[in-house]
Amino acid sequence: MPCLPCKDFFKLEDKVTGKRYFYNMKIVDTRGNPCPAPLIATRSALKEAKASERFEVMTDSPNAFRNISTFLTDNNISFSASGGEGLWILTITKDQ
Amino acid sequence: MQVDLLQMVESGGCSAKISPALLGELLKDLPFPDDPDILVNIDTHDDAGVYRINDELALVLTTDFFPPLCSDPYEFGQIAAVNSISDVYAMGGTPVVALNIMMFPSAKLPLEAYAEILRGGFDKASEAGVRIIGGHTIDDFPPKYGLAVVGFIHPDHIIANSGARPGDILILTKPLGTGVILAGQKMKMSTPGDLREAMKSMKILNSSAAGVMKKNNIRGATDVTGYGLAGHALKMAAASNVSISLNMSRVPLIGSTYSLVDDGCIPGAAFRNLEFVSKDALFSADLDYNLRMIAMDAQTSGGLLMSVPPSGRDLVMANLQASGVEFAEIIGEVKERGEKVLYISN
Repeated sequence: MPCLPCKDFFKLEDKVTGKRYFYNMKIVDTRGNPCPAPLIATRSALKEAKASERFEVMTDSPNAFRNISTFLTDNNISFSASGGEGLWILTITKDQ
Repeated sequence: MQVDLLQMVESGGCSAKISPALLGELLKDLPFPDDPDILVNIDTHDDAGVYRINDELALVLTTDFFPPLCSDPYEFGQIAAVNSISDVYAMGGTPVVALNIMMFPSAKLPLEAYAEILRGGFDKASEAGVRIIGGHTIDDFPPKYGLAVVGFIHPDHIIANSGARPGDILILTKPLGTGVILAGQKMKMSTPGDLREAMKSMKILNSSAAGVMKKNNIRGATDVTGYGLAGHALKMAAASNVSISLNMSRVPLIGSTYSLVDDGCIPGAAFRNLEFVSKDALFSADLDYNLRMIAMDAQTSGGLLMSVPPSGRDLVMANLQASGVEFAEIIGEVKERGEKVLYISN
């Protein structure tokens, strides 16, 4: 999993193949931020997102991951999640 | 005094209370004394323990302590003391004596801070007529403070969690939002006005509200603290074998609580409380999400939630207003036990 420090549209270089491509999904990196900063950042990103826009939220906190998932579910916001053991990524789609 | 106690507290802060669900599981298997003089016990998850001395006197015992939630040591002491004493009022008791419980990092904080915390506790205890007659301190980080309190009550006049009856209306005596606003303070989202209002609310002793309860022979009440309005309402409904319905739009809120929640400033404790109530609660389909989470917000030194027979409603509200309990509001009602224990709507 490549390390993703930036918060916006950016270029990604695959360290194995050397290929470069644009990773055009917004990443909200909340790692290291204390609760409830990750949820606040998620909420803020949701407000800013355009209809049907997808973006990702990264967190290193199992509590934040669980709470953001609950928040999204309870607000009927579609998302998928991956990760574990210290790094979770939620891919969130703002509705129409 | 330039000490900032908030520097001592781990960023995060979602941690002070163990999840109620987990605590319930842990306590379930502890042997409990079989003694007819124990009038109220852990089974009904009540606010304090009550032990009968004779036909006219029972003792109310409770304790509470926690890490700082504000910068100033004196104010921390005040709020911790008010919070500790509150459970006695919630049972209908009169607090009498107390012991200090202090954990203090002597290597990291000046001793003046220790003295200021105790002074704050002493001043509020005095206001409540409580004599602090001893205590215990250990060296520990982060600092924590509170009281163990003993009160008196007449055995026939205990106001218990199990005293709510179908048809009663529910009155809440303080606005909600301290958890959200304190989290917002860490996030630098709460305004100075929010903080001032929250601090003012947390410093109010529940003595006036309790006085009104006693005068009106209220039989069921609890105080709203770490499990949030929903958690404490659920405990009361469970103990009373009734259902409780809450109308969240009637609940007064402190400062910018609503917009802070709308911005996502929802403390972890609120999610823990949500887990605790979920299986026994039904949220109305159109329940505003922010109001739902406000119902879950853990309160520090919150108000009383009293269950009042409908015939007493107007008099109790009038008495509360007259005693200066200015934010008292009717926020729900008690019904016969339905499929769920707690119903929350707008």
